[in-house]
Amino acid sequence: MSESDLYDRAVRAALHHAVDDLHASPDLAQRVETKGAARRRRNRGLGVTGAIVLVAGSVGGVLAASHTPSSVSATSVRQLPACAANLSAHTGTAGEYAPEIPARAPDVPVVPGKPVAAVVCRYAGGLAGSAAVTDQAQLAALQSAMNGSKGYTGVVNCALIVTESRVTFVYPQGTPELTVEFIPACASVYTNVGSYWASADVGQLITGLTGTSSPSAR
Amino acid sequence: MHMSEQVAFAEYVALRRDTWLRAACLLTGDPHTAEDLVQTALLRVWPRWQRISAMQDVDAYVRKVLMNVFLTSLRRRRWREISADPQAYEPTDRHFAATPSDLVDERMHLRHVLADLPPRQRAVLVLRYYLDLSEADTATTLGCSVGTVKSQASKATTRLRGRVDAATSSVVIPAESTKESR
Repeated sequence: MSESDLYDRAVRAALHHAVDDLHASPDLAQRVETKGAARRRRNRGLGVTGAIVLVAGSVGGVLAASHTPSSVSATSVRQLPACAANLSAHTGTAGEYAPEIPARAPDVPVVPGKPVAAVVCRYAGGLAGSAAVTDQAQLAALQSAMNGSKGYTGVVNCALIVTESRVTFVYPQGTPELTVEFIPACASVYTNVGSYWASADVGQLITGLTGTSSPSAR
Repeated sequence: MHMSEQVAFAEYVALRRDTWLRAACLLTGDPHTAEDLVQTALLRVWPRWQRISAMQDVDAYVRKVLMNVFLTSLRRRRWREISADPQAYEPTDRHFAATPSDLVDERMHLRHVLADLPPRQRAVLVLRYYLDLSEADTATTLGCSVGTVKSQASKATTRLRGRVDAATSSVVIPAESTKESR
């Protein structure tokens, strides 16, 4: 056994030894469930206290970009935008996200009208996955999942933002693009209209489209 | 959350809570703060348990959440662990931990030695040497490169050298050549 192995073994043994007498409270799961339920109710109802984590930055356009989705196919309507290499590169060309808290929950669907395509960009640090959706069935499924989200007002106390996705819906010429932001940690989607509780299908669809098994864990 | 999911969540927590608590204690240096950290991490996991439980590697998700909560909490709330004076925790003779109080002293010493490391080095140590992750998995969990993991691990183990010794491992730690041989 080399010195390095010996040392690694010593460090491992020391770490285990330092904490091997500790045991978590048996009611940990129960406390989590109780607190989680209370927090969820509080956030749904008033959504006020706690750290406000809104995605401030500009949401807009995926146009300024350096990364082109691998599956982009030509569309006869207009050219699809590309994903920015990272979130800070967004320039906000398509519908700025308004950080102000609206007085009322939005009562319009997340994705109104009939988009002709969508570009999905998933970020975990940098750009972690992307896809262009031009297939009409897939597009309809994505729109439907988005529209299954329910509007809320207030803020969500979600300090942990590991990943987020931005989906840009492209409309026929003359209609501006719509950018929807999805943050798994907040279980929310955001548009320039307001905030919505993301339906369960949103995350799954984005996962499927961007080809990763567990995007929210990245 | 359905009842079956609640049961599954409770079972998962019952199975893994000690592991997460111990890892958290190595990160925070204090069992009470560690329990808070684990609870906060699980609070993030709980609302999405339906999706998370379907993942192939639930532990990887929870691990990542735990590390993120730890690191972001330090950053955002500026949590400060009590940084003990290492000298105050230097036992006079740590080669034999013969009595229960010696064992307690020894553990306290180890935790405080760890607490003196920068948070990211602690995180790397815990992931690599306590949770036995590969360098690649450690990098994925922390969202950094493998090179960063290697350098952080090297720095951390170098700082630990001489302070974690045969008293706890029955292995004599080489004093000088570790870094070169790694």
